[in-house]
Amino acid sequence: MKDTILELRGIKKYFPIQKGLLKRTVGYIKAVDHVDLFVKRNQIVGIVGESGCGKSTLARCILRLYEIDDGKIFFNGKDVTTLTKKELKSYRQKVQIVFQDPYSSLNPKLTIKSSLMDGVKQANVEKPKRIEKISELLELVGLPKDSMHKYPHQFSGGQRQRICIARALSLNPELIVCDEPVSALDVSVQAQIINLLMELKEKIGLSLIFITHDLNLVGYFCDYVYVMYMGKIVECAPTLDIFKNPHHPYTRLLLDSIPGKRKQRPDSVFINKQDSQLNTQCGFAPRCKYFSKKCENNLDLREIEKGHWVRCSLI
Amino acid sequence: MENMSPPLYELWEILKKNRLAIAGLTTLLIFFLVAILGLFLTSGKNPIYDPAKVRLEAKLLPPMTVIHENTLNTLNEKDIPPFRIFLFGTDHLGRDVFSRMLQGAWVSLTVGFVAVGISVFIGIIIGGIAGYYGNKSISLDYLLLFIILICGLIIIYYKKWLGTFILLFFIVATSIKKLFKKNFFNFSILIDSIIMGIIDIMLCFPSFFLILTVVALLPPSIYNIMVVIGLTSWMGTARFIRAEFLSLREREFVLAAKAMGVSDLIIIFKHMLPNAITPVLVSATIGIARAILTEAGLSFLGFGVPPPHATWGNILSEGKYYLFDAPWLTLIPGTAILIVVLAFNLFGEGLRDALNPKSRD
Amino acid sequence: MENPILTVQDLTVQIKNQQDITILNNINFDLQKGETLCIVGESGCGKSFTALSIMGLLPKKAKAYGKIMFKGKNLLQLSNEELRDIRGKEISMVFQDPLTSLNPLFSIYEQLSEIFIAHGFKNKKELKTRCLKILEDVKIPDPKTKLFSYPHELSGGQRQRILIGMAVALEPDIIIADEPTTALDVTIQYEILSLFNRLKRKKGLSALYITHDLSVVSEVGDRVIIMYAGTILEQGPKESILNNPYHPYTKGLLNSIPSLEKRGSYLTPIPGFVPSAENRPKGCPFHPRCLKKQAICTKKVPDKTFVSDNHFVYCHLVK
Repeated sequence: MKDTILELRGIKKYFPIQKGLLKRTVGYIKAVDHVDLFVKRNQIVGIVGESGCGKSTLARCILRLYEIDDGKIFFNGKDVTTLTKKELKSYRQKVQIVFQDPYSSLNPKLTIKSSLMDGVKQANVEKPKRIEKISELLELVGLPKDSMHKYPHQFSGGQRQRICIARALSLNPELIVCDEPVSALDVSVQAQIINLLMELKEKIGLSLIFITHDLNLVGYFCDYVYVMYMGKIVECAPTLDIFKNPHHPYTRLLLDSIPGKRKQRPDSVFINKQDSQLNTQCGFAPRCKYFSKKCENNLDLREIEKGHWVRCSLI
Repeated sequence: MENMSPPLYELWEILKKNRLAIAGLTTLLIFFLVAILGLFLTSGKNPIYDPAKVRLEAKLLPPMTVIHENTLNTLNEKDIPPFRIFLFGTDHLGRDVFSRMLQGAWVSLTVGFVAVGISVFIGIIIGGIAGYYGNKSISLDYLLLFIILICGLIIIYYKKWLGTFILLFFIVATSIKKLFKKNFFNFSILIDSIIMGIIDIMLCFPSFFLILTVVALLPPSIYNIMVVIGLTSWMGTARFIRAEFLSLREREFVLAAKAMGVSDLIIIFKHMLPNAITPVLVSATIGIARAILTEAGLSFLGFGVPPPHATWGNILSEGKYYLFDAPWLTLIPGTAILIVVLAFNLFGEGLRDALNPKSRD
Repeated sequence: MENPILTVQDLTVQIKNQQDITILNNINFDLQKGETLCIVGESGCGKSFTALSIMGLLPKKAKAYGKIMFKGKNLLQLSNEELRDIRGKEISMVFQDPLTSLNPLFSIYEQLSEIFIAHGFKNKKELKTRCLKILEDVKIPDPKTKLFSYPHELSGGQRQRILIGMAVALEPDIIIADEPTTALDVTIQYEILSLFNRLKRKKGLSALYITHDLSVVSEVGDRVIIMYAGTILEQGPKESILNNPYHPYTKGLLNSIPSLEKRGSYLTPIPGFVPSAENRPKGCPFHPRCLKKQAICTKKVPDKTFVSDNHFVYCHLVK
C-alpha cells in the first residue's frame, strides 16, 4: 500500500447568491458538496465530470485559492485547513496547479524568465543559481533554453502549456493539480503534453490530480477515477474497474457517450420532469432513466466492491 | 491573444498611421518644449522675457508691433523686449503678452501633469484596494476607528487641541477594543461597497463648484489648485482600475502566482498593475486636457493662480475687458488653450485606438 | 460519384496585408447529394475558412480565387444579394459556439421567425406553427413555452439544437456544421450528433461537417478530408481513413488519441506544432513534423496518389 499524500474530508464550497442593495444572501450554489478524496503518492487521480459540476472549484479549494466552507484537507497527514500565512506558503510549495487555458495563464507583459522567477524565488534558490534553475526547468519540459527571453505571445498553445508546467515544477512540488491542461490544445499537441506529464510522474515521482471531461484520457492515463456530478462524487473506483464495471447511471452515460467506441446507445435525454417534482436528493434524477420510488432514500457513498464506491440508492 | 496589448514598437506602428494622433503628438512636443524654454526665459532676477514688467506708455499694442527708434522713444531701453518686437502685443498694463504666455505655458503643463499624477495615484490605490480586497469585509468597529483616525489627522492640521483630543480618543478606543477582543457592533460591510459608495458620492458633486468652494477657503496658490483638481478627479481612474483588477483577479496567471505563495504586493505590482494600466494611461492623457481647462476656468473666474503670475486663464480673464479694443488679449490665450487641449484629446484617442487590439485588423 | 451538388475547384484564399498570407492553397473537393463530408484538421489549418468561403462570409481583407460551383453557379462570383438568397435557403450553417450564436436580447420565437421573414414569408399565424414545428423537430421538451423563452434560459445543448433547427428550417440543400459539438459536454455531444444525423437523413441534406476530433468522424461522416496548413493531405471514405490511413499526419493524429487500450505505454504524438499561416514550410507542408521525411519532401509539393478508387493521399512516401 502506497502512502496517502493528500486527503480531503467532507470539503464544502458554497457560493452565496446575493441580491439587492445590501447583498443579502438568498441562497447557495453548492459548487462542491461534501467531497472526500484521496491521492496516493506517485498516483494519477482523475476527476471527471461535465462542465459546471464543480471540478475546477474543487481544484481551487485544494490549492486553497478559495476558502473552503467546511471540511478538512490533510497533506502528508498534516491538517492544512488551519494554517497560518507562513505555513500556507510551505504547503503551496508542495502542491501546484496547471490551468486549462494556456493563453491566460501566463502574464502577457512578462518574459518567460520573469514569469518563472516568481516560483524560483519562492523555492529559496540562491540568487546566482536562479537563471541556471530556470534553464534546467525549461529543458525538463522540452523547451530550448533561450526561450526564457521571449514573451508568451511568441509561443504556441502547447509550448505555453509546457511553460506553465515548468512554472508549477519550479517549486519542486510533490503534487500537481492539472485542471483540464490539454482540452484547449490541438490533438497532436495534447499527446505531447500527456507524455510529458507521464514522464514527469516517473522521473520525479510526482503525484497528479487530473481534472478532465475526456474519458478517453482518463482511461489511458489515470490510476483512480472520481466521477463528479453537481458538486458530489457519484462514483469512484480504480480506472479499470470503472471502465469495465460502471454502476452509477451517470457513469454509464458518460462511458457510452465516448464517440467512436460506443457499445450501446446512451440512454439519457431529459426524461423526467422538473427537479422540484422529484422527491429525491439525487442530483442526477431528472436525467436518470432508472428513476423510481426507491430513489428517495439512502444517498450515501457506499462501497460495493473493494475500492469501488457508488452514490445511488438503486444499487 | 486578444486581450494582449501590443508591444511598444508595434504600438508606434499603429499610431503612426493615425494622422490626427501624430498631429496631436507633434503639437504636444512643441508645447512641452515651449513650456520648458518658457520656464527658463521668464524666471530669475533679470529674465530675458519679463512677464511682469509694466510699461504704461506701451499698453494695448497689437501683435507684431516692432519698436522703432522714432515711434516709442519714451520707452526705457531696458523695457524693450528681445528683438525689439512685441510678438503677441501688450496688455492694458503694457506687459508683453508673449512673455506672459510663455510663463503660462509652464503653469498649464505642471497643473495638468501634477493634478493628473495625483488623481491617477489616488485612483490606482483606491481602485486597486476595491478590486483586489473588495470581497473582504470590514467590521463596523474598525471602520469607525479608521474614520476617527483620519478625522483626527485632518483636524489637527487646523485646530491643534481638537485634533489631539480626537487622536487621544482614537488611542483609548483602540486599546479598549484590544482589551475586550470582540466587536461592539455586530455588523460588517464589504470593502468594495464602501469604496464604491464613496466614489458614487464623489461623482455626485458638481466637481467644478466643489473646486471653487475649496479654492475659496484655501489661500490662493498654484499648488493648492493642482492638489484640489487632483483630489476631485480620481474617480474615473479608480473605477477603471477596479474593473480591470476584478477581471484580472480571476485570470489564471494571477491565480498561479497566488498558488505559488507570491505575496500580495508582488502580485499587484508585478502581475496586475502592468496589465491594468493601459486604459488608465488613455484616460490620463485626456484628463490632463481637462485639468488644463479647469485651471484656465478657475483663473478666468479669479480663483486661480494669484495675479502677478501669468496663466493662460488669467490672461484671458484680464483681456475680456478689452475684447473689442484689443481682441488679441483673448484670442491668443484662447487659441493656445484650444490647441493644447485638442492635441491632448487627439493623442489620447489615438492611443486608445492603438491599444485596442480590435482596431488592429 | 456522378452528381456532386457542390464542387470546390482550386480554392485559394489569401489575406491581403503588407504581405499576402495564403490561408487556403488549391483546395479541391466535391460534395455528393445526401452524403456527409467531414473536414478534419487542427486549429489554423483553414477548415473554417473553407466553410466561410462557401457561405460567402469571408472577412473583407480575404480574397478567394478558384471556383465554388453550386447548382451551375460560381458562388465566388455572385453579388451580395444573390448570396443572401442562397444563404439559409439553400446552404445554411451551424457555428461552434451556441452561447454567442443566438442574440440574448430576442426570444427564440423572434429569432426563428426571422429566417422565415427574411426569405419572404409573411403569414403570421403560420409563422408560429412553423416555428413550433422546428422545436418539435429538434426535440426540445415543452416546445410551446420554450418558444417564447430567451437564450439564457436554455442549456447549451438546447441552444445548439435550436441552431440546428434554424439551419434546416428552410430545407436547404447543404448544411455546413463548423465544430457544432466542441463547446458541449460529451453526453450532450452524442445527442447533438444523433439529432444531426437524423435530420440529415429525414430531409435528404448533404452536409459538410467540420471538426478537429477524429473520433467524432466515426459517428457522422461518409467521407473524410484531412486538412493541414491550408492544403488537403488525404481524402477517402470514413472506414478507409480511420482503419487504413496512408498519410503520416493522419496516422499521427490517430495515434495521438488516448484510450483505455493504449494504457501503460507512451503515446506517439506528432512532434512540433502547427505552423502559423505566415511561415508555412516549402514543399510538403507537413515535412518539418514528419518522422519519415526524405530529401524530396522539403523541395517538392507531393502529387495526388490514389491508393484505392476513392482514397487518395498527397505524400511522396506513398507510391
